[in-house]
Amino acid sequence: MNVVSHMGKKFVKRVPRAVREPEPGFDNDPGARKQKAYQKASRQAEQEFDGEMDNVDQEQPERESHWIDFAAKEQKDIVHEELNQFGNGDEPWQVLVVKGDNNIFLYSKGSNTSIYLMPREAKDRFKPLMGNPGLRYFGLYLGNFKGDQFNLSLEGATELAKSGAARKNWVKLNDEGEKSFLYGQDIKKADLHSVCERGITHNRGICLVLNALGECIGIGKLEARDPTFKKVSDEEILVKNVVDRGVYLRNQNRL
Amino acid sequence: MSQIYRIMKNEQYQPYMVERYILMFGEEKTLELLRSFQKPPVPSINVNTCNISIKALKERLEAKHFHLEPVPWCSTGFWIYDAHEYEKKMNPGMVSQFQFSPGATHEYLQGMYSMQGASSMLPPVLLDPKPDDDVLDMAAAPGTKFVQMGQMMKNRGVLVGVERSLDRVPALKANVQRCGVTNSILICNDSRHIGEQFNGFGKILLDAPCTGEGLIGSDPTRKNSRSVGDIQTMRDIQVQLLENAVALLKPSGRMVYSTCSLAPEENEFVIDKVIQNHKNLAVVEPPKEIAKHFDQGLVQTMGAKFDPSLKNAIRVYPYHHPTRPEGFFAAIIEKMEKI
Repeated sequence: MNVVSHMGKKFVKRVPRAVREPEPGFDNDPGARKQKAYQKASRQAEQEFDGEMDNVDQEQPERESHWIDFAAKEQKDIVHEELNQFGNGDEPWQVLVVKGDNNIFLYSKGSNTSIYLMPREAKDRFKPLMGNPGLRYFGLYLGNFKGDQFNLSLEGATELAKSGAARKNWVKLNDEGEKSFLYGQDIKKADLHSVCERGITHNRGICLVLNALGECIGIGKLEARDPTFKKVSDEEILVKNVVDRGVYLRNQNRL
Repeated sequence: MSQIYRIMKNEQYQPYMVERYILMFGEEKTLELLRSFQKPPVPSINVNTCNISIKALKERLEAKHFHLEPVPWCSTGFWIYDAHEYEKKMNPGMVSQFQFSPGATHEYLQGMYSMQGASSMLPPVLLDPKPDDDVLDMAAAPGTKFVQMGQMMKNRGVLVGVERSLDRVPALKANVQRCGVTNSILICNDSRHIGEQFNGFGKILLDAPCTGEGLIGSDPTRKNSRSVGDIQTMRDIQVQLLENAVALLKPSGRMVYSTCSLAPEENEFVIDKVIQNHKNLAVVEPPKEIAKHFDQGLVQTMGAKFDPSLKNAIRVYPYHHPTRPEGFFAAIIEKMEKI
């Protein structure tokens, strides 16, 4: 079991030791091992949908490698904490997860561990498909884990901005700045329209990048020494481009 | 007839194709068809109303010197032109030289619309998925129809997309992510063989892989890249796909079978063959306000006779509209509870 510490606590990161992504199935007759893994995963999925996941603190039995699971409480806490860095109080979490009535899933693919939101109303349909080796995407990709650090995805950031709950840690660009950022460029003073009231206060300097209309066009990372951008030079890079929506054109075949 | 052969020779059609058109449609319509294939279709967009209202998007695109004209069979569909050129010529059939591509605007990147052929907007419109429906798309890539259905469902209910080709999944995923279709589940699998894990669906779209004869206007290589043998190969695959779609469709469920091929072997023949095996299936009438723009399905052609309900199918020919929509076939099939 992979044990990860977070905020003084220890929790079992519920990612199997040998996580592997099965090859996409082009036949309906997988080998016996694959079939066994699939049946076991389906049984587990069924139990979890029936409410067993409420008791997340219980030690989970070792399982065969599989790549989709419910997020554990500790993982949810990390996601919760990260989302709330962009809003007032608990609003982002409430808007994206609670009001959206979403289940929170952990998806492991190779060494990547991602978080997806899936509406609870989809559970009857999703339950039998959780173990399908061909599963490639579902619901809303909210972000991914690197160790015990959660990184918000572009799609997650977009939903957050769309919901109106993004009130902190944002920079707004002017039209020229928007164009430049969508080409993958970093943000300089001339690109800036405005910045949120207290500047970038995120503990890792992450910020939502919005256009002049308040629509999310990407995610950035603070580079400037002054997080309020009041004392910065024209040439200084204020925010580095982490990801922008131009990626849908530039990297379409690699997504 | 001489005009037909002149076009056939100049445009380097394979003779079998033109001969078949004459047998199927007669000389007059064949000539119209070949002429309409000489120019590409006018590009069109489908507005993602989950992300922006039609009015707001129109204003934003007009500010960028685009002009939009509505597609009459799809309330969210628009043909797109360069506004200056359109103002000068006022010709709906013109293909604009855009100052910058409508497939690369900031609005496009933000998932406010998709570039989608006007004909290919038809299958989702005919299937008419509603919020809370349980919908399967059996050949989902590259995802424009899939996204259109997600938008019609207002991101509620469940929309399962299956795509056989792993190479086509990234484009599908990119479209789903770009447009924010959050009720989706994407599976890479062969829809001929999916079954036990999928249960039944109330609505199914089978936009079947085909020879793509209807796309000659936008992709002239199709005139030479396919053979009669390919039609037969595709027909066998299509029958298998449709048979599985019938198995996956719940009683009283509705499905739409569509292709971008004009060959009856890939369309009426496929449905006729499957209907013969399942007495509880019928091709039902499409809404009149949609059907009036197009031709009916064939009930007999080249010596073959099909189930009379196939007249309810829709055949789109590029000459049906000055914008030359791609050739298309679509039929609504319903599964009755009891015979």
